[in-house]
Amino acid sequence: MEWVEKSARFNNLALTVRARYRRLPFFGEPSHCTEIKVVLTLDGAERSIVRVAPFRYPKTPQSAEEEAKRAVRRFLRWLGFALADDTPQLIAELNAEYAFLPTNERSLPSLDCVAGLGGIHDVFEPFFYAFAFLLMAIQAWRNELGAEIEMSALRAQLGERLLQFAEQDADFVDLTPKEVSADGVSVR
Amino acid sequence: MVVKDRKVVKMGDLTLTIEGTWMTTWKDGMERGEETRVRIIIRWAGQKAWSVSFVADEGTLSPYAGGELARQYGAAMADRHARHFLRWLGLCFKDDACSLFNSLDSAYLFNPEYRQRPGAVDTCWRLARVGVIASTLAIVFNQLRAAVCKSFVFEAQNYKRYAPLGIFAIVGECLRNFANAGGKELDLAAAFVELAEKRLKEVSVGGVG
Repeated sequence: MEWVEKSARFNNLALTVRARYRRLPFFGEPSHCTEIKVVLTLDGAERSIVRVAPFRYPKTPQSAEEEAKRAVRRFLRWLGFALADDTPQLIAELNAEYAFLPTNERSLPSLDCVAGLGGIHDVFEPFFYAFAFLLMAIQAWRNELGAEIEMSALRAQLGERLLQFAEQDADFVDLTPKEVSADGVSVR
Repeated sequence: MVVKDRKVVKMGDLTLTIEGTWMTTWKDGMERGEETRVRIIIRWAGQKAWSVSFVADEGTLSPYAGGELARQYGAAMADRHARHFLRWLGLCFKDDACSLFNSLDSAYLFNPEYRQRPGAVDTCWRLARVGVIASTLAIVFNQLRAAVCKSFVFEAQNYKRYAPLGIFAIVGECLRNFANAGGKELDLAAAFVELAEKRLKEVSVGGVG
């Protein structure tokens, strides 16, 4: 199947998250996988930074396209929570996907715990690239502007917008703030 | 400077070598940092050995650098991380995910639940790091579990005798005891029989009492 994608732009950084569900060309478990691909392009350069990772090995989904869309949404949501520095929520979302947190209510086999944490490691390479580049782009934009913008407030707002974008049907969003309030706290 | 510490675990056809390596790292022609790596060499009898590894710790150079103290410090670090890995492996066998999770968390501080306002960058970095260790653990756990299942323990007569005690839990305890004792070589089959028989004796004494 083709890749499903959503793109976001922040100033000179274009971030595209793609996902596809596919059956792997060998027998045995797991024989299918959802892959995630992150493409980062700075200043519209011809060359991009591309990272691909297995997102997860799901149970056979109802529809390959739905599974790919869900992976893109989930990945963007993680980015949103990371941008907003909302780590408890980020961990909760990661746990919903990889089930690595043992709780009092749920007894978890050790192998599931380590396999879940290992799965996070696989998908974290593209995630880290995307997160780090977004942070750098935000910092660079703030320096260019020269205004006293409070970074944590800006990140929280951008995180919120990314979360909204993840849930929308739109394929593209420009996150670059158009206006900055006098106190430098809110942006639009 | 490179200091190594090796621990060997044998079970049937499988020999696991857990190798902790502490080394100084160089930048711009100067010794600036240190790194502890744990490598697990997996060797099945009659087959080519292969290995998996992870960086357990890294940082700026300790104040002991450059002398005999550095060697002692490096040896202690290599031993410490190899033992940590054995303990985690033991917890996998005991299927004690809570203790395993807490132990990994106290080593790498990746769960933000008990910390005040941890940054996302910090948490993500720590999670990614613990993920490498978890992947390695999963691989070694599966290999050793396969070795246990292929061993005499799972022969019908022995299985019947030891199964009520929880075979994998006893294997986990043997690994933990070995890690705590700081030994260099463990004959897991012998240690298993010794501990299982001791448990059986305790059970029968307890039953009579």
